[in-house]
Amino acid sequence: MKFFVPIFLILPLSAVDKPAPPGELAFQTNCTACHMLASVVVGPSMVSLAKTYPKEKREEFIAWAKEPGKKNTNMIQMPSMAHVPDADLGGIHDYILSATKGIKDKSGKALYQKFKEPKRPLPYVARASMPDSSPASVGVVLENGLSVCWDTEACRFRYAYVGDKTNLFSMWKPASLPNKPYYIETSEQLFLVEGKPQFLGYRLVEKDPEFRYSLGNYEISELVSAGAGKKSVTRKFTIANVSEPLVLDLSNEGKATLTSDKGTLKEGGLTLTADEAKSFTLTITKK
Amino acid sequence: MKRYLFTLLTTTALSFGEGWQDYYQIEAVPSPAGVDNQIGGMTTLRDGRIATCFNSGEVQIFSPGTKTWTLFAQGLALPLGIVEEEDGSLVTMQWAELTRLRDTDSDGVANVYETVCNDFGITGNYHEFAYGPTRDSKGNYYVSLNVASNGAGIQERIRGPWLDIGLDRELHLGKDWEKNKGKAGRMYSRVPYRGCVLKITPEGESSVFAYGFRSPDGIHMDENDRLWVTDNQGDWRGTSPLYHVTEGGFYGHPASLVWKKNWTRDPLKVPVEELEEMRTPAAALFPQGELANSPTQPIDTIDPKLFGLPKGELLIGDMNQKQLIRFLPEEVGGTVQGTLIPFLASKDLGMGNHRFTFDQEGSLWIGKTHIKWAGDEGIRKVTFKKEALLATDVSLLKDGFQVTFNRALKKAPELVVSRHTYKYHVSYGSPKVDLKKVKPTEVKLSGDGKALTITLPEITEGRLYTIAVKGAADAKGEQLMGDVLRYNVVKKRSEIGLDPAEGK
Repeated sequence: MKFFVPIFLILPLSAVDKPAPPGELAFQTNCTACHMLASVVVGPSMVSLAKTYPKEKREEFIAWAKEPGKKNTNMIQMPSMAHVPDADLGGIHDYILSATKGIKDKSGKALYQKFKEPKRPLPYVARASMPDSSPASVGVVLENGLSVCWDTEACRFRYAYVGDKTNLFSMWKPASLPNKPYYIETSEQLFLVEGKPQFLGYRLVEKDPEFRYSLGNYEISELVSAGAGKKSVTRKFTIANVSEPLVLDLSNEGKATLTSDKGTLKEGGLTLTADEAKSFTLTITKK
Repeated sequence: MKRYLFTLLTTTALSFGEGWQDYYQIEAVPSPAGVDNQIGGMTTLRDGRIATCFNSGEVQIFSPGTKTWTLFAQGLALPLGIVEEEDGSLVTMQWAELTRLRDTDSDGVANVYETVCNDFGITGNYHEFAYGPTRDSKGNYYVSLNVASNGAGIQERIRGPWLDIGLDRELHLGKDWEKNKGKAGRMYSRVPYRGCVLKITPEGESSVFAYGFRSPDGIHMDENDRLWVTDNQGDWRGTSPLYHVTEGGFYGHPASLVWKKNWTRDPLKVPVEELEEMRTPAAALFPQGELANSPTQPIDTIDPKLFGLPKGELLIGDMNQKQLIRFLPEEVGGTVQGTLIPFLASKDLGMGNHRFTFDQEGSLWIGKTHIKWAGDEGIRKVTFKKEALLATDVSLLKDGFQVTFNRALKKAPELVVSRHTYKYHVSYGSPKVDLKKVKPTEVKLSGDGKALTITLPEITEGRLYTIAVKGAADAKGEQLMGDVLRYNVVKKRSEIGLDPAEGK
């Protein structure tokens, strides 16, 4: 390392700004994506690194950087910096120590103000990964304080729960629900029709989502709305080109009653004539 | 030792960067209330308004006349790009699908959220971003899918199917994951078509267009129907690349090879030499920490009168560096390669420059993001004031480079030329490899002062050439803005076809 100085001196420095110390450059190259001066971004702040690794702990710093373990349970593990030469890692350590002199740690404070979900007009429809449903789900937050999870992969209503939480999407985990569902559909398959459903999207009808999907030869729409009062959710189905009777497996658990305005509902099975299947409405009423 | 020397040279030259305020004005544009002020997509609509996707799931539209925002759509899951169709529909890529937002009752608000394509998997891993779309002249969409990171496992329920090549699925869950994650690969692809670029017809038919991506945040079809994708330094990425992407190509990160037809092997067990043979080299390389750490969206430059840059270039952003980057492409022997030049390096610009659009007056709108990494928030608008002294063309010669400037230089500048490459390996990042200073045998400024011919002893393929130009100024003493040129020589110019103007 002692060869450094002479090399600096032979640099053509005319009209060149004061060169940054080598540790700073190596830090910029390898560390800035995750380590900020005084705040937590992905990894600990430089100030807290300086505290963990004071001058006398240089060797430990270098060893850790080359083979990182996991100290902070709430942070992801650092990738190994084994490709960075020891000398550079030492330079990075120097830089961390010098750059943080007299700087106060603000790790407790967020670098950016945490986004605060505004009060959204209801009904509100949000794409999200939801628990006990596919990561491609939709949360429907109704104006009567009830919410629904609708799965775009299975193309079906999964469950209903109490609450009007609208910030459901997280890249880290499925949405955390304000309450356990009071109604869950448990059948393997909703329509006893061959084929895999294909989600086509939804449109807003008076702000309520009408989900649309194809299944076999059918194109099915399901409009999810708040029912009367604070206790019910309605699901209006519309199916084009039905020419034969249809059966839905509406097996469910929870504390709600399910009714249909058409067909025969028996032990969770709904049987509809072809004519009835063209348009029918299910109502889920919370007990 | 040498490594230090050249890093120093190039980086000190970079610090000339301040001074851009004479040529461009940077201002903040207020975002609408009630949104997470991080931007995943921006486009200028045909009527001149600016459609913007926010991380909290809204598409808001800014009217420059009234300077007001209106809500067009909401409840989207991390939309990371947006394109306008001929009938005014907007198409955006969100976490789980490519979605067409339609306003069929013409009240200015989308009432139809139509699924264009959801034919790809999701494991619930936090790194499975879905970027785009960009669109070709035939109306096809292109999107890029991030691979999963071993910073976390997967969720119980996935959108599959799960592919059985690699670590058992159960081991990606809960406590088992912590013990086994070392075996998953730093970034992994176990559901379709993670790590690929998909092509999607306007009707929604999708196919895998290209393989080998890691974190391809920037996807852009230029006006000549050339597809560009930026990717992020990490495993199999010595430094961040810009790729010119063509159909069927493999771009270096092996996890997504499993989505090739009839592929049966664990990508982690394929010899590097074999991968090396298969991969298409990057058109440009951003040295980590110097030029970019996490490059973002490329965008075409516009009429020089409006923004002061030549047409036919790309402008590219970065999450970590307080600058944008120009890319000057040229075609050599059928290969598209070229030069990266820092642009607009300044504290006012700041970092986190993620998404871009030029408005109808020619101002550049910048949407920032950080997620929870390095970056920033909000919108900046960059307006052209007057033309800076710029390198407007860099051409590879048989034995050197020719750099063209928009104005005459007073005298031939001092040059420091070096070249290096990076390791192609499973590890994270790479040091500079084979870094050598190259002493020009001749540096000649043309009679009109606008063309600098740099003759080198030889040109080596597979090397990134860094040309630091020192003290270049015009007759009025205005300094060259963007004075480090980084030309990635994938292909040398052959004995024939010496004319640098060829193949532009």
